[in-house]
Amino acid sequence: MIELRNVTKRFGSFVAVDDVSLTIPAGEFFGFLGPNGAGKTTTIKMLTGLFRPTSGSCSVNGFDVQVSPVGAKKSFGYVPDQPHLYDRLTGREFLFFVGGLYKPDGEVLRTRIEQYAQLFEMEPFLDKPAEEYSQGMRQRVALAAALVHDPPVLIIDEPLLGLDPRSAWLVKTTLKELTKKGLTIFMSTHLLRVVEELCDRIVIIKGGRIIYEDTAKASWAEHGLLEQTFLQITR
Amino acid sequence: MRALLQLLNVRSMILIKGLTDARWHTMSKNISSVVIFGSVAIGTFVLIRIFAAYIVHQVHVDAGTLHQFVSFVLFSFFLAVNMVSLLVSYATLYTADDVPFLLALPVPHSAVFGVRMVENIITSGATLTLLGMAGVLAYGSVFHLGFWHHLLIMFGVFLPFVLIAGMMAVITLTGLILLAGRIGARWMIALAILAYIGGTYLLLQRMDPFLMVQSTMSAQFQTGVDAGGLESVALAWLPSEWVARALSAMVQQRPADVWTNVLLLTGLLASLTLGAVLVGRRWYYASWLAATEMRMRRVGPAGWFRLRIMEFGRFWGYRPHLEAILKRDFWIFFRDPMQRVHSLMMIALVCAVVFSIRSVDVAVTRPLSQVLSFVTVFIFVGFVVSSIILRFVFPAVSLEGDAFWAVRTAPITLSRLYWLKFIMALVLVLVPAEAMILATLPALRVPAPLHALAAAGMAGVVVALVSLNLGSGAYYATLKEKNPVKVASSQGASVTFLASLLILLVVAGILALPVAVTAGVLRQRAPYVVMGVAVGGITLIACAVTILSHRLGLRSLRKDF
Repeated sequence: MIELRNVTKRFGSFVAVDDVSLTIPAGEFFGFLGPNGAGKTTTIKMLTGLFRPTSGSCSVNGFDVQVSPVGAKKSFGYVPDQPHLYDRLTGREFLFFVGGLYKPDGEVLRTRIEQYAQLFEMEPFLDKPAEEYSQGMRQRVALAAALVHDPPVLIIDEPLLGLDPRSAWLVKTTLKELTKKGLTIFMSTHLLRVVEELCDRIVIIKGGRIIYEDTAKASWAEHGLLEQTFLQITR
Repeated sequence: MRALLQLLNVRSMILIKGLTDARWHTMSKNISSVVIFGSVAIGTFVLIRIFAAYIVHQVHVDAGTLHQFVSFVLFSFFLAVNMVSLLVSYATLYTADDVPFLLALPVPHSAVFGVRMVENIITSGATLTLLGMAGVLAYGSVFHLGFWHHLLIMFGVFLPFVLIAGMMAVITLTGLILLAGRIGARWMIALAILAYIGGTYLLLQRMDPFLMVQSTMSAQFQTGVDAGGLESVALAWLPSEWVARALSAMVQQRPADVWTNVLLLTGLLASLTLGAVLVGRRWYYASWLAATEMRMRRVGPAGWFRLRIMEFGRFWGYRPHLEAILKRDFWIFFRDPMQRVHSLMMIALVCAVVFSIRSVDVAVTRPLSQVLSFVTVFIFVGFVVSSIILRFVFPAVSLEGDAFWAVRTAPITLSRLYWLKFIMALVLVLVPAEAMILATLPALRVPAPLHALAAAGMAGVVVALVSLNLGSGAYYATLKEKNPVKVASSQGASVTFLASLLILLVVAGILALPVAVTAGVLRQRAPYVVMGVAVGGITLIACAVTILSHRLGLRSLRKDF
């Protein structure tokens, strides 16, 4: 469903991502971990078409992100680490705007927006301008925007950043439900507890290179073990 | 004082690092800036020198009329610098993201105010100052003034004049915001507009530019005519008048008068500097709090302005992705008070230009004057159109802002987004531009084919300038900047504006040929062939600029986000 083949990204002489290859099958909840500056966001940006890889290729749902960007982008929803919205639009308008870019049926779009407004408890603020939103509110609107076109793949960068405990619980519960329905999730996060709770497989990246990969959830899912493993590997 | 110097030091380090950045991308930007700034400065100097030499040596306009004309041009220049500084100052002193951080530092508020004020004047007035400086130096050159006179013109006369305009803007802005805090923003804006209209009306009553232009026109037929009657309308208390008097006194070798006016200018500048320090110390923080509170109280998006067809929940049923972008751009534009106010100001400016040109009887019979009048009116209207394009089209890509991720990761091609922006801008600018040129040309009483020629020329200018500003706006895009005024007054915007002026001058030069043939200045048996060649030339220029700009713009749009 998601494939990165020998992906490298250089900024001048600095190598941010170095020959990374990954394959994530359909329905997997994939955790992408690493210390600050490891190359997680750069990898995600290449995967979503925000950065052009220096070499290698990324594909989503069989579409190469650089060669067939429209096909690839139809297949995924994306939530950035800093979910900036248009200050002068309301959250609801933002959802209609993003949804509209995927050429949906109008009534279906309206129903989905209502559905996610209720699910993420956004009704109290959804008709206020986004400039008044807190980080948590923005995060919830961005997550709804990523899901509003019902994509088979969800790519999320730090989804729980700035969320209060209730909002975090809401997001985690929704992600669990979505994986049960067969959604493929590529998640980058620093919250190891969340990884332990949600992910089927993890990869740890450092200095732009993959340094650890584990599919045996039992080996790190026990509380505390992942933290030790992470600290040891990234030392 | 130490804090002020420290802040200035940091700002200058940022500036120097930007200028000395050795990366190719930044270097190419800096080199192109230097080339365009330099070319335009030289071009302005040459153009004004030719124009002034023609007026002085060929037409023999007398000193009194020339003095009044220079005074009026400088007054318009003063208003332009003042207005731009006012708009930019609001952005940098009150809405910039780093102001809360600076105010939280243990430095006096007056230091923050002082640094920002100097930055504003430099950035907002740089282009106008360059053009103005080239103009006054050309004036000095026509009268063969010496090196020291030119030095005095630059640093003793013109620079204080520009700084006065900028400082007055910042001080006035602080006062206006404090007033808005007391009586509300809408009442303050209403009062300010009334005061501006009243003030302009009173000044025009005293100065009467129409009478001045008509006197200059009549002077062309009666060489050496005495325009001394205009002397009575001089407004001795205006800084623009002091500059005009200093220039006039230099030409007539009256050093005492020169120094009197230089002292008046520097004295006023010193007083305003002291005033600015006082305002910064006593009222800047209070005015910042007032501006912040006003923004928090602002009517939300679901406020007073509604247009059902543009509401997001109502679907057009045709190309939903284009509908989404059109609606987004529409609401983001009309919900921004600054965009609304500036749109109204631009409409007022367009009306004022049409009204002014139609009010002046510029119907001339001398062939060369006919050509000059035609070209002058075309350049004047083109200048207004360039300003509108710079203000509204240049920031179009920057206004995609931090939320651009939502479009970049959606299944819409960037070329489609770019073309949509281009077509929207083209339609919105072409209509008023054509209306303006066709409404002003009857004042010249030129033959009908020349109206069509001017309309075609203006269409070419609009296509070229919209393309240039959109492409260049993408090249210089600052997605972090939310304020369109700041984007439109950035260094990239200045370079683009100067490039726009160059294109406008080239097109005006091409148009001058068929006009000269029609007026009989140049002998040519087939005037329509010359017109066709001119239109062909303009079309070529428009196409070349459009292709190059679109390639630049699209490449820039595809850059890493």
